Amino acid sequence: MTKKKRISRRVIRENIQLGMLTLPVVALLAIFSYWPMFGVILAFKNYKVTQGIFGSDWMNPLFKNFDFFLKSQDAFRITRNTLLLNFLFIFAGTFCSVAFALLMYEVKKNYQVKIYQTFSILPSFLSWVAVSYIVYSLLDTDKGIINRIIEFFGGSPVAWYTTASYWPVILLIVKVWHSVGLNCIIYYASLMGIDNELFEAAEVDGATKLQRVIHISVPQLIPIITMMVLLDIGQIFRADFGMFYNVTRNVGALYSTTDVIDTYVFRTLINQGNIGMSSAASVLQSVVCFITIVTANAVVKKISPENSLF
Amino acid sequence: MNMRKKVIAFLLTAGMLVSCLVGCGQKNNGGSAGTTSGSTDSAQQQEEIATVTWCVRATPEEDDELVLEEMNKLLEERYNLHLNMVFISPSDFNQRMQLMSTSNEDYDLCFTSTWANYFYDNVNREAFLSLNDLLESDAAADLMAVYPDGLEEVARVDGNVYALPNYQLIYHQLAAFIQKDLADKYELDLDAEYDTIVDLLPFMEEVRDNEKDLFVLNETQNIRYMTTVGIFDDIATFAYVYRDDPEYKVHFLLETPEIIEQYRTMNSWFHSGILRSDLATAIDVTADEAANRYAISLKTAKPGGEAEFTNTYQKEYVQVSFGEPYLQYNAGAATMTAINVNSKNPEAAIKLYGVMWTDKEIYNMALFGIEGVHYNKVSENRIELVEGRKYNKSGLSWAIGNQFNAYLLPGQEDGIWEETEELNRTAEVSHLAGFNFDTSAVETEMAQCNSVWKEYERQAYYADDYDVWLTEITTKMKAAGIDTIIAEVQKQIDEWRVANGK
Repeated sequence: MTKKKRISRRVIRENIQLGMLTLPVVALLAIFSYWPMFGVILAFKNYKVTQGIFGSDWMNPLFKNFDFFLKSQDAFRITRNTLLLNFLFIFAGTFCSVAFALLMYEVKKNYQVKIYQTFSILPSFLSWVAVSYIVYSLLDTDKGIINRIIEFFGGSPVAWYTTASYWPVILLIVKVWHSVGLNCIIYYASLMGIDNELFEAAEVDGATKLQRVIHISVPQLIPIITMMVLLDIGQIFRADFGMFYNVTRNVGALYSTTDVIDTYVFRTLINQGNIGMSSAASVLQSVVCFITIVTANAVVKKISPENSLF
Repeated sequence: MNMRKKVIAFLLTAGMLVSCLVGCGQKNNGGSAGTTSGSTDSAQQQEEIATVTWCVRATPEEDDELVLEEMNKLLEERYNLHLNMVFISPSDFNQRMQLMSTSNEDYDLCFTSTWANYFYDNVNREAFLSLNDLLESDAAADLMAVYPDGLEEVARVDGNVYALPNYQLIYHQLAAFIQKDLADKYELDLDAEYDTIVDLLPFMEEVRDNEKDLFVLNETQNIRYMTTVGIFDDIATFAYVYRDDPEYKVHFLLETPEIIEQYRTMNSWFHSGILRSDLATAIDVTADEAANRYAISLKTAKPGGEAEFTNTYQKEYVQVSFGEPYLQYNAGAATMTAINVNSKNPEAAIKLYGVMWTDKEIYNMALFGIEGVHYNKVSENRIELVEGRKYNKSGLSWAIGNQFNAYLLPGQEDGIWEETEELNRTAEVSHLAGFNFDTSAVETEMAQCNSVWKEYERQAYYADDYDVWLTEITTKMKAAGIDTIIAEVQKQIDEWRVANGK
C-alpha cells in the first residue's frame, strides 16, 4: 500500500510539467464547455430577465420550445441535408486527404513536399467569407468565369445561384478544397512513422508500388482513419454554419439542398431573439450528436476493438 | 545538465501558464470597465451626482471620451447629472444588448426599435421598465412639456408604456430619386403627379434600352410598399388591415389583390430587365449606389431629400414623391429609447433623456462633438464638419432625442426640420393607431413563418413562373401556421376595439 503510494507520488512528480501544460486546456474546457452546460435548462424555460435563468417559469408544456423545430414542415428537409452533406464531406474528405497523403509520401524530394504542403494548406486559412467571394466570382451568372467559359464554347450560361440541384456538388468541392491540406498532415505524419524496413522487404519480394501502398501503407493508416472518422461522425448533426451561410450567399432558392439545421435555426430565430427556442435547438443537436458518436463507437468496438475511441 | 534542462522547461511552462491566466484576467477587467467602472468611479467621488449609462448603436471613435468629458461638465453644471455613453458597433448591437440584458448588466438607457434590439422581444422578456409612473413624475416634467402628444402610445403594451419614441420623420411615403441628367435626357415630366413607381415605367424602359452601363431600379428595401403605401397597415410582417376598412378585417398579405399584383409586377420587371439580373445574389448594393450605377433609387420621401442624395453621392438627383404621407399604426416605433428594468436610478435616466430634448447644446454636442475641434458654426443653426474629425455621430440624430433640434449640415436646406415636422403632424393617421400586437401567444408560428418567408420572398422576383411561386409560398405559409397568426391578430384587434370604443 505504502509502496504504491510512493510510486504514484513519483509519477506525479515526473509528469508535473506535462500536467501543467494541459492545465490551460482543462481550464478552457471547464469554462467554455462544462460551466455553460447548466444553461441547458433554458431550453425548458420561459425566460424573463427579471427572474433570471433559474427563477424563470418552466415552459408549459415542458417541451414547447422544441415545437418550432420538431413540428416544422422543414424538419425533415434540414435534417436530411445536414446528415447527407456531412456524410458526403466525411467520406470524400477522408478519401481525398488519405490519397493526397499517400501521394506526398511518394515524393521523396524534401523541398517539393514542402511546396505541395504549403499550397494545399493555404485554403484552410481563408475565412468562409473570403471563400464565398471566390466562389461568387466563378459562378456569377453574368460576370462569373465559369459562365464566360461556357459561353466561349458556345453553351448558354447557367444560373448557378438559383438552381438548387448543383449545390451539393459545389459545396463538396469547396469543402474538400478547403480542408484537404490540413487533414492530410495527420495522415502524412503517421505514414512517416512506418518502419522503412517493411517497404524494403516488400521491394525485395518484388511488390509493385501500388501493392506496397495497398498492403503496407493503407493498413497502417486504418487506426488513425477510424479515429478521425469517428470524431467527425460525432459532429454529424452540426453543420459548418460559416460555409453554408456564406458560400451559398444565403439565397432562398437554394435552400432545398443547402439548408441545414444551423442555418435554419439562425434564420428562424434571428428576428425574435427567443433564447429558450435557440437553446432548445442546440440541446437537440447535442443530444443527437452524443447518441451518434456513442453508437458509432460501439459499432467499431464490435468489429475491431483496438480501433475504437473509448 | 538534465536537471538544468528540466528546470528551464518547468519555468517556461509556468511562465506560459501565468501569462495565459493574466491575459484572460486582464480581458475580463477590460470588458466590464467599458460599461460599469466609469460609473462607479465617478459615483464614489461625488456621491450626489447620478451617472446614467446609455447604450447607443454607433461606431466607437477616437475622441469619444473627450466629447463625453466635455458633455459631463455641462451636464453637471446644469442638471447635476453624469452621462456614460456606451457606443456599440451596429454589427454587434443586437447581440451585445441581448447579452447585457440577459446577464443583468448594469445600464440605464438603451436604443430599441422594431428592427434593432427588437422592442417586443425585450418586452416579452420583461427587460424594460414600465414608464407609466415615471412619465408623471417631476423628473420627466421638462421632457413631457415638449414631447409630441401621444407619440409614446406606440410603445404601450398591455397598458404599460415601455419606451419613448425618438422624434424624426415618422410618416410613410416613397419617392424615386432619379439621376437628373437622365431625367433631362429622356424628358421626364418632373411636375406631373405620379401615384406609384409603375407610372414611371415608360421612362424606365427608355433607360433600360439606352443606358447599358446602368441598373435601372434600386428597390432592395421597399418591395412590400412599392405600390401600397397608405393602403394597408402591416402587423407583424404578415397580417394586413386595409386602412379604410370599418370592420378591421385582418388579411394574410398574400391574399390581398394589391400585394399579389405588386409582386407580379416585380416579377415581370425582373424578366424584362428593369431589375438587375443578379438580384438573387446582390444583397449589399452600397458599392453600386456609391458609384451611381442606379438610375432610380426607391427610398423614403423627405423634404430636402434630393439635396441629401446629391450631397451623399456627388451627383445631381431629383426627387419624385408618390401619393400622400401616411402615418402607420406603429409610426415612431422605428427608433425608441427604453429604460432597463434593473436600472438603479430611473429618475436620473428619464431626466437625462429629457435633456436631449430640451438642451440643444448638449444634444448637438453628442451628435457633432466640440465646436472648433470637430465642427465649425456657419450660422446659428448651421455647421460644417471639420475635415479628418475624430468624432462624428451625426447618424445618431434620430436615435437619441428629437432630430428637429439638430444643427443643419451642408446640403440640408433651412427650414427642413419645420417642414418635416409639419408633414408628421398633417399626415393621414391610421385608424389602428395605438394598437400593439403581442406575439407571445404565437411565437412558434412566427418562427416558422419567418423561416418560410425568408426562403421565398426574394424568389418573387426571379421565379420563372410567378403563379407557381405564389401557390408554393401560400401552401408553405399555411403549413407553418399563418392562419393561427392571422386569427390571433384579429382577436387582439377586436379586443382592442372594444376596449377603445372603435
